[in-house]
Amino acid sequence: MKLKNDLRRCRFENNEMSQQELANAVGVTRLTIHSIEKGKFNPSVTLALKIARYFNKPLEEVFYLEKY
Amino acid sequence: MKRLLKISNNTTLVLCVISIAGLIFTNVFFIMLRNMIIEMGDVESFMDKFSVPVASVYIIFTLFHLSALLTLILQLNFFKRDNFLRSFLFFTGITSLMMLFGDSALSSDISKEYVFGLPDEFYILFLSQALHFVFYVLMIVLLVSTGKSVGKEKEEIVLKDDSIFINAQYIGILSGASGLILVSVFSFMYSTLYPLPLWAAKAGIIITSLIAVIPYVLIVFYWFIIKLKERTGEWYDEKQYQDITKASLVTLIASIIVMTAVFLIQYYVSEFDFITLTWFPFYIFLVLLLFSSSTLYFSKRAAN
Repeated sequence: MKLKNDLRRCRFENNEMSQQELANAVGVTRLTIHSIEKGKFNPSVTLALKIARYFNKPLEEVFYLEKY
Repeated sequence: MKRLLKISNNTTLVLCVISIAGLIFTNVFFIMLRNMIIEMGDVESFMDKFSVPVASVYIIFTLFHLSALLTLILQLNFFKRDNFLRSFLFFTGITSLMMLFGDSALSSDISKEYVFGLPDEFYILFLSQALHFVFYVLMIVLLVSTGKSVGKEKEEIVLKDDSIFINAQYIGILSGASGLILVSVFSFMYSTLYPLPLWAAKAGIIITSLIAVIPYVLIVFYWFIIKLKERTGEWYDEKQYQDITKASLVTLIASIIVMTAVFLIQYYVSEFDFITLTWFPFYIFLVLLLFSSSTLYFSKRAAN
């Protein structure tokens, strides 16, 4: 099962913040946020929790497993 | 930052144009000197006549190189996207700067050896001039293209920079590839076509290795200076850790395969005996090339 995410939607709902702004907020590079959004990099639990907490959402609303 | 970059861009552009004119002058001088040696003319008085103007032009070259390197570092800081041309110019800028001192040493050798015929140093001297030319022309291209975008570019706040990391991989690839080529060609040529005393071959290999590796050492040093303000555990973010871990595994496997192949070739083909002299720089440049290219591949693969 593949890990999917709603990061892009979350960013746009949060005043259309840029990837760089989110990267600064959670302490990673812009390329890491970009790779997570594209589904090419699975973040650690710590980073996933940091991102979810930043958007003030439960983890499962930002990251979820692909349904078959 | 924007203002400083604009001033640095413009100063470098002016020095670059002057340096191109100077490069034409020095090349005309070297061609005339070569012809004079072939025709057995009065080389000594010719060199005396032009020594001061040529030395003055070389001072301008040095100023231009220092200004260009400062501009490149400012651009690396300012533009938050990696750029291969910028990395290539950082690499050629440093090698070209080192070759300015090489030109001086070669000219000194030529002035001592011309009485015995046309010195071979002219080949290296003209190769060095070609390197300077490539650097000067591409520097103009970069300065003109970025000069417009400096004003438009937004000054973004970047807490964790990835462009230096990617640019360091580009420079690692250039250093690794050029080091492998230079060391292999140099040692192969001198052990077969132009046999040299062992000390001279060793000195040649050390000098070519240093010229190839110094740009990488400097960019890593620059990256290290930037990272000093962070804790060691935060030098890479988690994706960069994953990329360099994968790249290390690729480097380990690929370097074992290549070094085994080199060992077998050397064992069975006597012409490849030169590797006994160069195995250490050969291995260093191979590892540098493999590690930088695989790190770049893993970083870029996720971005596309």
